[in-house]
Amino acid sequence: RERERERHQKYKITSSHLHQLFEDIHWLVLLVGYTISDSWTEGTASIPSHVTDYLARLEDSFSVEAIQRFISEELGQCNEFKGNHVHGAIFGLLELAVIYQDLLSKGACHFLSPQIYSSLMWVLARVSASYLMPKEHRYAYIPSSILLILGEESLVGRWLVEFLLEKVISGLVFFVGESTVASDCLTLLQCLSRNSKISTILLQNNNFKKLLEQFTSGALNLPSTECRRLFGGSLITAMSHLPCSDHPDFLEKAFGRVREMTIRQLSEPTVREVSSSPHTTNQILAALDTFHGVTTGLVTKVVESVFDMLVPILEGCVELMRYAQDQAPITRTVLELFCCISDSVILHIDKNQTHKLYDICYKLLKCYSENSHRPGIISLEVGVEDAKYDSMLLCLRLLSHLCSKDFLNFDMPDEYDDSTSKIVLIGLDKLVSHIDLDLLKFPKLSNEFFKLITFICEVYAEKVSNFPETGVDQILNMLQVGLNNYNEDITFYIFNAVSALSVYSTNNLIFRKKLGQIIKHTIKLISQQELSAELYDPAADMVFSFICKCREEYVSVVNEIVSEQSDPTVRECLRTALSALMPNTNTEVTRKDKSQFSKIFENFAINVYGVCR
Amino acid sequence: GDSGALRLTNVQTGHLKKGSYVIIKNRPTKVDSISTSKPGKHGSAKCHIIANDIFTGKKVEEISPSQASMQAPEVKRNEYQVNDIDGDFLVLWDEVDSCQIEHIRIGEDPVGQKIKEMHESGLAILVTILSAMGEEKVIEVKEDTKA
Repeated sequence: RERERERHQKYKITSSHLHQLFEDIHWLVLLVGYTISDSWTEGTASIPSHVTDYLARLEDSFSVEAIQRFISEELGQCNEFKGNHVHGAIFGLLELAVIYQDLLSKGACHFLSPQIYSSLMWVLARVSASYLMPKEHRYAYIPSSILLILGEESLVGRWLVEFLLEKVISGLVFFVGESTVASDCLTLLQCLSRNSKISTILLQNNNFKKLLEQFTSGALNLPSTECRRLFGGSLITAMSHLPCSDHPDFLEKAFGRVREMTIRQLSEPTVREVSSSPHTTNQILAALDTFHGVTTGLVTKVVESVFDMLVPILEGCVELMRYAQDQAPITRTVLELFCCISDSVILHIDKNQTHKLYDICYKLLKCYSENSHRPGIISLEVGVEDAKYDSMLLCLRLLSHLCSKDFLNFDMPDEYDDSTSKIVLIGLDKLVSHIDLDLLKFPKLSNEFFKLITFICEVYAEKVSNFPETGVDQILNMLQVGLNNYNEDITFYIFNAVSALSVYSTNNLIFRKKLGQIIKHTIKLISQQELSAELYDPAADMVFSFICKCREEYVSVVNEIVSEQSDPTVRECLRTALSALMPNTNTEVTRKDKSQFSKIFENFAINVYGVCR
Repeated sequence: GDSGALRLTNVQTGHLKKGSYVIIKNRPTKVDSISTSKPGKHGSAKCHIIANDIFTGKKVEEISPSQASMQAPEVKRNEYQVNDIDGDFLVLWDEVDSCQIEHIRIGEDPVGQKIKEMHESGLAILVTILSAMGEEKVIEVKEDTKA
């Protein structure tokens, strides 16, 4: 630092000079990146059309041998480059990376700009996705001047993969604690791992093997949740390109140590100590972040083997929740992991694995319910409301993902497997008792909650109507609460839910009576013009379904509404209007009849305004 | 027995999350938010931590480089049955150690008032005591439905 200070004074380099220099370089990096590449998904991106047009206009006046010589001898020495401007732009970026690495290795990290390195990695990910070792089906869209240099069988392409890996490792090693730099380096790694040819080169590379060893020994410092997830995801994505017979060995090598350590920490009685040991807590959270990343990187062919690897971790997480649920980071990390796993694997695992997942999720929700804050508890703990909101939202999302198995799974077995409905309904029952008006004031949570209830009522209407009474009461109470307090979206969900429940409630008189209370309330809202006209159609659907399937209960509702009116004229008008809604004979709930009823209902709504007081 | 020494652990600033416990200005706090800031666009990242004192609720802030270490307190939450109220102090029963605890003061806050109301009504009460760095406080009260 002393020498640098002297050098600065000698050349009068000030911090503002450096800042301006960094700004200029940063702008150039970003301009090049946006000009020659596009954003990528699944590790690939198209080459922008203006670039392909430019390359098509040029003659192929370049020499592959000259470029290879440039790479091996001249990169970083600022000699004249022989190639077209696109080649020049790409290799300009690489030259910058070489200069950075040279300075970093000489201890200049503290005055270099992490922002430039971060953006450089981001741009190189885009360039790799567009140009590096494209798959054969893209050859028709890629100019030969690029394919010859950077195609699958090219030496320069192979060299570039190893070069980029070195830059990823440099970023992780030298910019310690800079989570943005680490995250962009690992995003580049993720992009590379999605290409099967590149991934094969990576897995054979000695630097990659050393990186993996550092990770497995716990020596690799990944400074944030996002970084740990990216790294875990990249490893699994790379593994997916290996033959299936190599997967068990790779899983053991890459994740065996952290898996064993986590299982040990989550087992009794060790897990009891977790809540009082920040060091152990952080180790476990870091491991769970990695496994979360593993789940996000899953592709279909590796799902079953990875799921089996994760099962003991998930079981351990249930124990962790039992003892450490008061710690918001633990609850959030565990629930996020479960949400991610249920979303990624639910449609790809076999029947036994599905039952296993349901069983573990049920235990988790049960544990959460037993240990969570209930309404009626007075608490001064800071952040408790936010934590409750976060965790409840995640639980609702978990249930939604579990629901998707029945809804989207077209592989219906000969014997109907109703385990999904059981776990979902029991899980919902556990959660509903923890949801109060205070929690529902958060729009995102109330939206998620009522959407889930509606989905469950629509898909499992028959099971809901036969649920134990306390469970049904809770669900119907929540529907009533939703009708009174929230926005039109939620009212729409509730109408759909009650419409579905009405159709399947034929055998449960008490249930039908309770549905009748919601119908009664809706009619009152309409007569007091407290229901938006845009909701008349879904309201009509609901009332029609109820009238068709619960005729007697509808008559009771009419009698109740009428008897609450003191004016005899009003009573008579109301009775006539409400009775006119009933078709003469028992009608099935068909689309045509619904459509006709909708018009009648709209007239009813207009005529009955102001009648009910 | 317990020597009474503070049990602190080092944690890297970059590892802190919302809800983590950390010591700021010698007080045990719970992180409310962490944002990354830089002194100038091209400087090294620093973490701007906003946290709340777990006993007083007071907001505190700290700026620390991401790679630096901070200290994390050992925080315990224990649940006890309330046997009695003796003036301004609770008489608690520790089921784990089978002993009585008599030094916890009832606070002049909603939890303290609720404890007094429930005690006067004859309800069985459970309280949660938060303890860290030698301090203790009643932070939660609920009816003991199992009693």
